[in-house]
Parts: sequence; structure tokens; C-alpha cells
Amino acid sequence: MLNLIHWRGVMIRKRFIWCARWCLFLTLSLVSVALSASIMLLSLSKDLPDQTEQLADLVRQNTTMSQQLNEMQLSVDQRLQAQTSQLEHQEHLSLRLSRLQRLSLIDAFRVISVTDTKKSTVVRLQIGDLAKLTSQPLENPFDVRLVQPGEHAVIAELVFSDG
Amino acid sequence: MANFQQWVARHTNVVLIAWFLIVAAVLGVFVVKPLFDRYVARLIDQRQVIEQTARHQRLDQRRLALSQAIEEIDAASHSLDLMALVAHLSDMGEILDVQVTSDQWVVSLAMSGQSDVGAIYDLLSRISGLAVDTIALQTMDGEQQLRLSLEPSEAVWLHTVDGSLSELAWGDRLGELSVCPNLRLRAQLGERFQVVMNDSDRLSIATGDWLNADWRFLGYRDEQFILKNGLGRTCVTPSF
Repeated sequence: MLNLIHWRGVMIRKRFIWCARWCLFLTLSLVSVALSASIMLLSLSKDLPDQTEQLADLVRQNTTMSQQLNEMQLSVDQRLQAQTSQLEHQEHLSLRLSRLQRLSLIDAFRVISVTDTKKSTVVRLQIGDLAKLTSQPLENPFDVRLVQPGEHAVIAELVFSDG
Repeated sequence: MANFQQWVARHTNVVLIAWFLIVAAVLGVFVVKPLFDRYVARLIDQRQVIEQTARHQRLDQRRLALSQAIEEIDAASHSLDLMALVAHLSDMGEILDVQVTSDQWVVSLAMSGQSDVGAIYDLLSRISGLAVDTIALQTMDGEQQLRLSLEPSEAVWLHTVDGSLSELAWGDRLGELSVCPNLRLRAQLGERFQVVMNDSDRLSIATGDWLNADWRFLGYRDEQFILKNGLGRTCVTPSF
């Protein structure tokens, strides 16, 4: 009678050894693959220079330069705004000056005083006759606020406004 | 041991697959992945260096453009303080008084008869950041006193502009008319009269001559001089 139990034990041991060999073989294979991959990655890494410091330096420089540019842009904006403001200011003063230039339409006068404010211009002047004021075809009429008759001239106070 | 060998023999496929996966995972995590991460980090660094270099060039170009713009603007304008404004105004007249408050500059100046008030307007029109509250002109004895009330903002700039505001056409009409002069006849030769004006000036005049800037001689009749002023009014004054 065959001793099957003995043969079963032999087969199990052989199968175990076979499995152990395959495990070792797989391990060696994977190690060699990992080694190859590592060598390749190391080689690729060596081809790329380490630029960490250069990058940090560039980022620092760009940040500083960006801040400087913001300040410069602000400065340019302020200057441009000042130029625009000057043009508006010039136009406003030109309007105020034009109030005074309306006087030149009057034939003869002598200016005693001028008070020019943002809203109106008050001119105190001497004229020969009050009728000269009313006879002028002025586009923007003025208000006559005060009249003092005199021996050789009439003193009048005229109020010019843009309205 | 016999049970273990028996378990391995029974589950050989599972053991081999599990062993493969475990060894692969361990090698991948502890050997390959760090090297791969290092390589990827360098790739990222290189890419960022290229981007940052390009950005650096763009910023540099922008800085050049802004510097040029600032130079051009500065060539046409510069900041102005009270002292600089007073220096400009002193070219137009004598500075009498300067008052400074927190929100206002008040400058008083005396101007001669030849000064043009329009020039003050022109100067002020070239300034930004300085609101003109009041310009008060007072004429007295051939001189003009000008009082400027200005409201400065934080930044005051003087600009160079091409055009200028037009001048006032009545510059020679400043000041009150002088009183009718006293005349004394010294001699008459035909149409010419030798006269003494206001006890001091000796003049030889004919009809239509100007005695001074305000008064013109029209005639002499019944020992009276007939004069007419620039405003068209007449004055009859006896020869004293």
C-alpha cells in the first residue's frame, strides 16, 4: 500500500520551495526595474541644473520691481491727473477772465477795483454816463449794484456772473 | 511550520501576486518616488525660471516706459510750493504780504500801471492743485494792489503749456480819473496857449491836445478853459 501521506508532505515542501524561489525571482526583477528607473531619473535630474536659488532670486527681484512699478504708475497717474486738473483749472480761469473781458465792450471806463470770486466778478468802475452801460449789446448782461453820481464821472458797481 | 508550508502550497498564486504588489509598492514609495519627485521639482523650477525671466523682462520694459513717461511729464511740469509761487509773482510786482493758513495762501502784491492783470490769470491757469478763491484788485494813486486768496491741495504743480490766456484789453484804464486840473493862462499865440497846470507844469497846448492821461483841452472862452476827460465828461475851469 502506497504511503500517500509521505508523498503529500514531499509535494507540499517542493511547492513551498518553488514558491519561495519565485518570490525571490520577483524581488530581484522588481529591484532591477527600480534600479533602472532610479538610474534614469538620476540621469535626467543631473541634466537639469538646480535653479532653486536662481528662481528665488528672480522672484525676489520681480516682487521688488513690481512694487516699484506700482509706485511709478501711481506717480504717473498723479501727474496725468494733475495735467487734466490743470486743463480744467485753465478753462475755469479762462471763464472768469472772460467776465472781465466783457468790460472792453464798454466805450470808456476806468477800473477802480475788481473782486473776482468763483461765482461772480464785481467790478467797481468810473464811466462818463450810466446810459453807456445800458446801450452796450452785451451777450451776458451784468447787474448794476451801486451807482454814485459824481461831478466828472459816475461810479458804478457791476456784477458779472456766468449764469 | 508544516501548516505554513501547507497554507503556502494551497495559496501559491495569492502569495506570489501579493508578494509582487508589496515589493513593487515598497520600492516605488521608498526608492523611485523620491527620485521622481526631485526630477519633477527641477522641471517645475526650470519652467518657473523661464516664466520669471520673461516676467522680469516685461517688468523691465514697463519700468523703462514709465521712467520715460515720468521724464516727459516732469519736463512739462514741476511741483510748486508757496515760495516758488511768490518768486513767480514777484516778477509781476512787489510782494507786500504773504499769509499762510492750514487751507489758504493769501498773497498781496503791488503792481505798477504797466502790469497786466491778465498775466496773473495766465500764471494761475498754469497751476494745478491750487484753487483760486478770490482775486481782488484795488487801484489807488496809479498803483494796483492785488490780493490773491488761493486754496492749495496736497500736490501743487506748475505746468508748461503752449497757449496762454488772452490779455486784458483794459490795462491802461486802471485807476480813478484824476480831478479836473487847474489851469492858468500865461499867453496866447494864435491857436496855441501857454498855460501853467496845477501851479507847476508849464504847457503849450492847442485845441484837442491831452493835458495828461485823463484830460484833453477843448477850448478857451470867456477866461474859462473847457476840458474833456477820457470818459466823455466836460469840465469848465476858470483861469486862476
